[in-house]
Amino acid sequence: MTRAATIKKPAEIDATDPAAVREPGVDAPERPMRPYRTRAEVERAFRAVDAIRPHGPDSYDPIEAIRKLRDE
Amino acid sequence: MSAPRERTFVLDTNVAIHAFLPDDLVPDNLRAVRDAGRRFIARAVEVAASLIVPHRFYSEAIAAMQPLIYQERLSVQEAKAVLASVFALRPRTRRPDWNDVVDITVAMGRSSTGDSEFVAVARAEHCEVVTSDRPFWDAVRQRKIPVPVVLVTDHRLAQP
Repeated sequence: MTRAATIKKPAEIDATDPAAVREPGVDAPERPMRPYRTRAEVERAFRAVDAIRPHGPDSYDPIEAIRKLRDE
Repeated sequence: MSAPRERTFVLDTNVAIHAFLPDDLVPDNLRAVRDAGRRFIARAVEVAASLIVPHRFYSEAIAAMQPLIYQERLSVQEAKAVLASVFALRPRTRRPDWNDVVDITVAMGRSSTGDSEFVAVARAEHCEVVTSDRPFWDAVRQRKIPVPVVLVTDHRLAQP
């Protein structure tokens, strides 16, 4: 089974069920991360998100996403 | 008393989201922008710079993750991990003066207020907006809005 096939669509997710939005292998925080206090901490966070391996074409531009939101 | 102006910045949402975007999601043409954002944020944390945002920063950041979730390129939990990393910056929130938002929106010739809220907060804080949105940066300059907006790729930001 491909990884994509295991992902539920947002409409299928029961937000009240923590297990429904949790996947194995993703180191997501159980509670809010504490504020960064050092450069090393924030650089560690950069490396942690880089370890996430998204799927699909790499064309996403958050600038465009936010611009569309602001223009709505 | 507020922090010295040179250590206070309004952080545009796109800089924060770009900096914490997983490496595999960053197209080659945006890598320099992402890297500049990371350098700025790392340096800002290092020198305990004050990062300030309007409240909409949080909703914009969450909304920016939605296309990736709907396209199934990030799972909900992965998107939450990205957002947790962004929000650990703990930017201070400030409500913009609505009079300023109206004036700035009109001066910029816009129908939406998103950019104006960031500019209005910067105006109140007497500091710069740091953005990676070049059209926004261009608009502020062309319309001669009297608030400094700097591109995150500006080399001067490497040493806030």
